[in-house]
Amino acid sequence: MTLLRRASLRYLARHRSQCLLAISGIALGVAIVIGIQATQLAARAAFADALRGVFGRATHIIQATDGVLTEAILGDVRRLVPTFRPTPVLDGNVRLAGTQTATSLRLVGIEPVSAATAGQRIGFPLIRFMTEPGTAVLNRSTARRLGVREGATIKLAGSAAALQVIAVVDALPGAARLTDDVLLVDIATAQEVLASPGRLSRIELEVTDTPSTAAALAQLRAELPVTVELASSGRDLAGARELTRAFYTNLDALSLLALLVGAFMIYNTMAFLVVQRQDLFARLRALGVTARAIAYQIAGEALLLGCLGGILGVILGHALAVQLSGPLSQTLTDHYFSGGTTALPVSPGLAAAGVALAVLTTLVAALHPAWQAARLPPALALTRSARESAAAASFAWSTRFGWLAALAAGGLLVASAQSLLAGFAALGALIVAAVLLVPRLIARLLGCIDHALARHLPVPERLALKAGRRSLGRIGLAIAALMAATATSVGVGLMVGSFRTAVGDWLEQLLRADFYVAQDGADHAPPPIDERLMERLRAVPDVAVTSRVRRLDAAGTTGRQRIVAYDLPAQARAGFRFIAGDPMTIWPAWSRGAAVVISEPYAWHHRLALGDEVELETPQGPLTLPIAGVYQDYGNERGVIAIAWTTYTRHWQDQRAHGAGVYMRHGADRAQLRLALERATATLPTLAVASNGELRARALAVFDRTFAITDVLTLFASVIAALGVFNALLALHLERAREYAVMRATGCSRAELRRCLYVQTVWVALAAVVLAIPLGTAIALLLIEVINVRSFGWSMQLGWHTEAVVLPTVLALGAALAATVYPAERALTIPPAAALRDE
Amino acid sequence: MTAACILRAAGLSKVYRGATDRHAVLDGLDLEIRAGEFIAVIGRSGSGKSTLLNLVGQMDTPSAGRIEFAGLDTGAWDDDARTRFRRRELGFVFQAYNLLPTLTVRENIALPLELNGLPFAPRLAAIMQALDLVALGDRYPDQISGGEQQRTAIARALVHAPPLVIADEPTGNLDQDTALDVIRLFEQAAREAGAALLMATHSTEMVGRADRVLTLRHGRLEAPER
Repeated sequence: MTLLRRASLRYLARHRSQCLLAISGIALGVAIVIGIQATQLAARAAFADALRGVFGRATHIIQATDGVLTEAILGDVRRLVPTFRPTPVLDGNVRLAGTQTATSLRLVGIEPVSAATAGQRIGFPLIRFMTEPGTAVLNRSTARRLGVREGATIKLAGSAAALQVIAVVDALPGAARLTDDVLLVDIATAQEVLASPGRLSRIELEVTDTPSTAAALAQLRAELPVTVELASSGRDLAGARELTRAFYTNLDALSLLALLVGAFMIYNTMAFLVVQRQDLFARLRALGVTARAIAYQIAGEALLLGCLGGILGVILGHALAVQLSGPLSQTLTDHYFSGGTTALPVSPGLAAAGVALAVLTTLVAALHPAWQAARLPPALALTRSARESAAAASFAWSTRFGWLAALAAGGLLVASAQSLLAGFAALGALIVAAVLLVPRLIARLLGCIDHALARHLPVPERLALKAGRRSLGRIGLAIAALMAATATSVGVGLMVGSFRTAVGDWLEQLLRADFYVAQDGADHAPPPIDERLMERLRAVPDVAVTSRVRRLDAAGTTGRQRIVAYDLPAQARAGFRFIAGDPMTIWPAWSRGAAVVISEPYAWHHRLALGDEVELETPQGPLTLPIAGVYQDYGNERGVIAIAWTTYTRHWQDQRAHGAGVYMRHGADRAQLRLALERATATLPTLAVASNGELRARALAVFDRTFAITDVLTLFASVIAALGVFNALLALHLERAREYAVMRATGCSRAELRRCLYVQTVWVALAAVVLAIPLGTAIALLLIEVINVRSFGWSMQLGWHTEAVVLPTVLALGAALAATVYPAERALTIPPAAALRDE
Repeated sequence: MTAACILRAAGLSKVYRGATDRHAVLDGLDLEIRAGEFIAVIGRSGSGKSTLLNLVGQMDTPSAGRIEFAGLDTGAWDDDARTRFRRRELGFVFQAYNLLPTLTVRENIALPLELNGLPFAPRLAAIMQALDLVALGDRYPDQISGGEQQRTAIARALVHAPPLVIADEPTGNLDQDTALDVIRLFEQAAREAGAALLMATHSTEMVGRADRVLTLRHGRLEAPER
């Protein structure tokens, strides 16, 4: 090893705490990105598994756009395309008896014989499974979670049926893994439990690529009824990716934000490791070491720290993925699809990408300090004043870049009105601008305080104020990163708070019925409420009026689109908040089937406005209707087209609904009515009765679960920033050890010096959090007015939420103070004589 | 016989510009350094001694004037060429020692050999022997005295046998007795190595031993040279 490299390694070894902090900062930044990516990959794999069918080989799926697929179609399909091995599946959600919604399971009914003829070996007692009604199979992790073993009996809520667990398996041999929270049963059992006799959810096909395949598929398509469609799993997968894109983009953006804060910390650390050695580098330059060799040495150190931080980050990232898979899986189940997400081990590719990201970030962060260290002539670099002039020049440059970044943020917003990427880029540029401008702003703010208050302050506080201003060249960036993390927490908190208020208000206005009867999270399940059940509900004493809703997908000009048919009494119509169109003209046209109304996200995604037309494929042929109104809706990010019940029954020739609303007579007993409704729906165990308050609470619980992950990410960003401040203060106090020694030598007591060091941090951190509040509000505005609109098409008002502001700022102050303790106490323990020595 | 001139400076000036003013530290200075000679540079603080040494040592660039080394105009050199000069042709001894704190005494001395790709033996052992540093070889700079640190710096400046050694008040931080010891060793080692020695000093002992004495006053050389 060369002497230069040896000197470098020994320097790092002597500054272990700084190196460890740098490595931790890099590791935390990478861990967030890897954790999020690994969780997303696992979720996508689960998504793909779900779309590939129960046995993991389905290439195509036959399903009904209106949710009604009968067994009769299975016979036709088998006759037309026997080689595609049609496998019927019926699935739906069930709840365990005596538990809440959170422990609901997916009941999946299969036909074991057709699965076996499809080339699969069934890995459990097939005969028993087929011949004994009420037998079920589940995977090991679900069995563990539910605390059941082979032979145990599972009771379902609202059903007399009990299922006996005859096998616990991890995977169906030769096929896909059996996903979490799935109860696999024979199709007859599923039809009985789900009260869907003769019904199927879908028919899975395994299509092999042969010359006659395309013709066979075309023939099959032609023979299927208009409400039944044949689609490839790949198309659904692509659709699913599109559907969850905005959700993932938001997560990616948050993880990159944490990495950005991490990058500032890494830059800060690398800058310190260089700045502290400028004198040393100048000596080396004087001895004939080239600027390039110095730059290579710094790059080598960055590479080493980056590699170590990257490897640690990948390990931490996997641990984080395991922690995040629970809430993320729940969020995906709440919003997108059913099926558990299990954290997968970080793949070698992702691990390599994580290490590469760490190395690249560290190298980029080291570039500027390395250039600074190498460019000064040795004679100048040996003088402190020249180094400080260079630092001041660099400070001025960072301010200029800060203004440039602010301009870029504004430019991006003005130039692009639709692009989500541009929105995120503007958000990133705003944060970078703030980080670069904040040290100077804090200096100005402290200057003003100094000017106004200095004469009235005791000596240690006055010294601390001046020292705080002077220290900004060293700790400014770290404090700015802490400010950015705090502002982000404030911004995200304000946005989430405003969003929650908007959703709460919307639910309050929307859920006008006293009770709702519906099936749990079963958009694609057959609609269970027919006209007879509606009659029974209307006949319940104290029921004033009822409403009903039917969800279906249909092809149209904007592709496959979600349609919602509403049967709405006058009371329910007040639940719609129109952002375009006049309710006085909307409802008459809508009710007589002369117009549709669309949700705000639908209007945003398809660039539609009042008067535009939408075309729907119906069993009676294409239906083209004008848009009479656009209403606020936070229920579906893709957006929906709402049609009147009469339009639906006329064109789809169907009366069945997914849910019903019940409005009670004035003065009726709620508890009695609920019991009566439960009795009226007792024959359909999958139906549940819930009050409007329960539905609202459930929806807000889903909302809170969805945003729980953002809390984790913003907390991570704050921890990284606090580490950065710790690191910066440690370096600052080490650098100033001689100055402190002089103060001690001239009679300053240890207590006075301690007070000075702590108050110095308080001044700077206080200035930073004061600046974090307006920046946080700006971030919230950008998230609400730009990101949310461009991601989901949701508009809302920014509201003030004190806890969203107070909590992060108090945390930041606490973190800054906590970060001061060790560096300050360490500085205080260095004997003045040792600090005053030259070498 | 007069030794060959290894370095010639003509019309050398150095001006520092502030925000509102300019300050000329050196003003049209001429200088010749011959192989193996010992030149002492004296003058009051702020007279331009260190600036002259930095310019001659290619640690800084002049505002005007020309420096030739071995007949080559150093004004045409880029940073790499100046670095190569410092590495091969120069040894520099600073008042503040400027040792590398993370290298031992032996490693500090060996550094120029390594940078020049020269073998450590026998030069390293010889110079350590000559400057009485053998026993301190494995210690770090913060574990030895100021005099020992400066002897280490001198050894580092001479170990690769450069034709020119520059020393900027090398005994400024030492007590009188230690300073005398260091000066004797330094002069002896430099002469044995055949290096020209350009030394800024306030030491009368040093001035008495020099072949020539240059007196700087307000950035100019005062005649006569001795």
